[in-house]
Amino acid sequence: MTAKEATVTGQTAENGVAPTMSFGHAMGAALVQAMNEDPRVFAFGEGINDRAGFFGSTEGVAAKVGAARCFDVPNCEETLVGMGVGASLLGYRPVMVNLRIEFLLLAMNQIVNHAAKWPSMSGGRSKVPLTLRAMVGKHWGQAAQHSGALYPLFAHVPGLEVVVPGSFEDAPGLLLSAIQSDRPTMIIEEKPLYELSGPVTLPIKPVPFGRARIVRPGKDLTIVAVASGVELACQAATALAARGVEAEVIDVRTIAPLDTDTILSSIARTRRAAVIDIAWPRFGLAGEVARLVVTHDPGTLRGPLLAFGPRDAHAPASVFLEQDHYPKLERVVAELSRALGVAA
Amino acid sequence: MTDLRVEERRPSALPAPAVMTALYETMTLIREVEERLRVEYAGRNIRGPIHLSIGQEGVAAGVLLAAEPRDVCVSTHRNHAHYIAKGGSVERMVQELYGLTTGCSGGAGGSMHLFDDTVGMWGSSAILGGSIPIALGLALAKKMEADGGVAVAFSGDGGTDEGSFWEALNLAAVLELPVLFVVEQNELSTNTPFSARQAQRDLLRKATAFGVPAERTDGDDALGVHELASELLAAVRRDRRPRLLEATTSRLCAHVGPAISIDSPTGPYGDWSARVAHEPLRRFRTRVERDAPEVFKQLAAIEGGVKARVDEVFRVAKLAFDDVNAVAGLKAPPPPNPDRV
Repeated sequence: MTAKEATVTGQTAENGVAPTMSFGHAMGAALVQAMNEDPRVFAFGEGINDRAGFFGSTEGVAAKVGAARCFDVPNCEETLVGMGVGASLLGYRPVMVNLRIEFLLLAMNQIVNHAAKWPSMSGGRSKVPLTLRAMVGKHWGQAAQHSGALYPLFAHVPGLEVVVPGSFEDAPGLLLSAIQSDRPTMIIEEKPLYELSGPVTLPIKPVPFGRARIVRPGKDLTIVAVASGVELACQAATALAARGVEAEVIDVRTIAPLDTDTILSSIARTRRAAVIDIAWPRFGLAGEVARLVVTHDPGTLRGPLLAFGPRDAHAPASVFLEQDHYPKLERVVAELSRALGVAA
Repeated sequence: MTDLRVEERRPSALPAPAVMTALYETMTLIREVEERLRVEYAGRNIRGPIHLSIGQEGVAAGVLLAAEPRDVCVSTHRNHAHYIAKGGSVERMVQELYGLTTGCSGGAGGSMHLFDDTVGMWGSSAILGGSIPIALGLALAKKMEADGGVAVAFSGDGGTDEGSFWEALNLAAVLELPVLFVVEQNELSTNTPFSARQAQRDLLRKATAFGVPAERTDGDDALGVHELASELLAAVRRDRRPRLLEATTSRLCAHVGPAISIDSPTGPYGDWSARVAHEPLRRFRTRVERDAPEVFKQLAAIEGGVKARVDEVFRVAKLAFDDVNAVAGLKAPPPPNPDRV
């Protein structure tokens, strides 16, 4: 994905045309498309109209849709999310953009106590079609407060949809689906995606929720992965192929709803499973996959379920110390090889 | 009475007789429903916390009868009065409290989450300060719709301790949102006095400093609340900017549950008897008897009509509860523990 990238977010294009864009511009194109398709969509965020434009993802949006539909706001995350809840009750589809997911912890009250519960507390008589975009930092000395994936905190809560794109190709379509969803939806974008660019077919097609993508088929091992874990899983699968092991890689794409059918049927075939996460493995996706498998049929697995993710600690800033924080390909391949009984 | 209470700036103007009778009917309906809830609660078939508005009816009725049908509001755990004054169905409210799926929130919300979007009552949060930001979103939507409607955010003074209240004042001012913040100043958060919770107790000074013009009135004078709320709502509607109304009042029941009543010899305040004497229904009757005798003559009939209606509402809800319970077979609830209501 190194072709010359498009210079303008969401440029007008003929149907089927596939201009090359940066990841940020592709996300911006999805936002503008959603706004053009539905006048009830609007966006706001702290610094949304800054020149940096949320890594390009909001660059030029205000100029395209008007300042009233893409506006800057003060630093008050709880009240901003609550404002989004209120506007969505009256039928609008607000998109709140957050540069770092950690800032949404200030809004946990509105996200968990209000956005997630309002439809239920009203006996199903209200809807909260609110989208919260949040980015997760990685590398470049982001340190402890700019690097947490944190999505399991939200995936625990009924009533919230949690989307974690694993590829350049899926992310803009997942954003479209988030905006079109009638439920409060968090789309959590890991920073390495923003290093990518590539062709984006216009108009962008929504990617449905609750459907995982089998990135690479295989019969010997299932690797369930999320965000940059998908790329790592694919590299591990390539390495394992050289050792005669065919690993199936699943990009879950949406954590809630989770595509349990695809995950369970794959593991039922391979009878071996691993999870590569971007969140801490404790009480996370690996535990959820284990719960699914064991409650479905405790005899499914022929070996241990291996879980890979960041160390059970907060990310250090130092480039030297950070080396050991994230899972490395060599260790993933070595541990999987050992579990499978093949030479590492 | 503390320094926060205000005597009438001037005798409030008397609105049209129809407005006066509507104010009295609304306040009486709130009072009757809640007094009846206090009685029925002992039967343990209404479950969960109930936060009564007895003593505060003047604020809800005064503000929401000044509002228009296109206006929308959100409230707090103490939301019965706002729901009723906004025009929510009393039948469906009581069914909600009996846990029936025919209730206004489908049985999922209960006392703290009364909901009726058809009258612009968009729900209530039991988390202090929780619904205030949501009112800003309702106001933003009204601004975008440009239908002339505005949002009303009810909060107690307890809610003004929360950061979200101050964030909301700033955000509403900077984004120019058509919202009226209404603070029901009963000087209690559960039983912790306002004076123990905020060093600078002049909310008007603070709101004004945030860029939100603010007024204070005697919340027990429904006529005065109605007059001032009408002015403030008109101002919000006209220039699409926020206003704040602080209405001093008294919570004449316990924070939660039916334990203390207006007839208790002592309540949570040091000046209990003065506050009871100040309560809004009595205030209204006294004023109207003096200044609008032709309206006063109608009050007894209004009271009779409300009582009959409330009797019927509870009769229907209790029959439905018994029908459902005949199938569900709930065990008899344990006797109430007077220490935990």
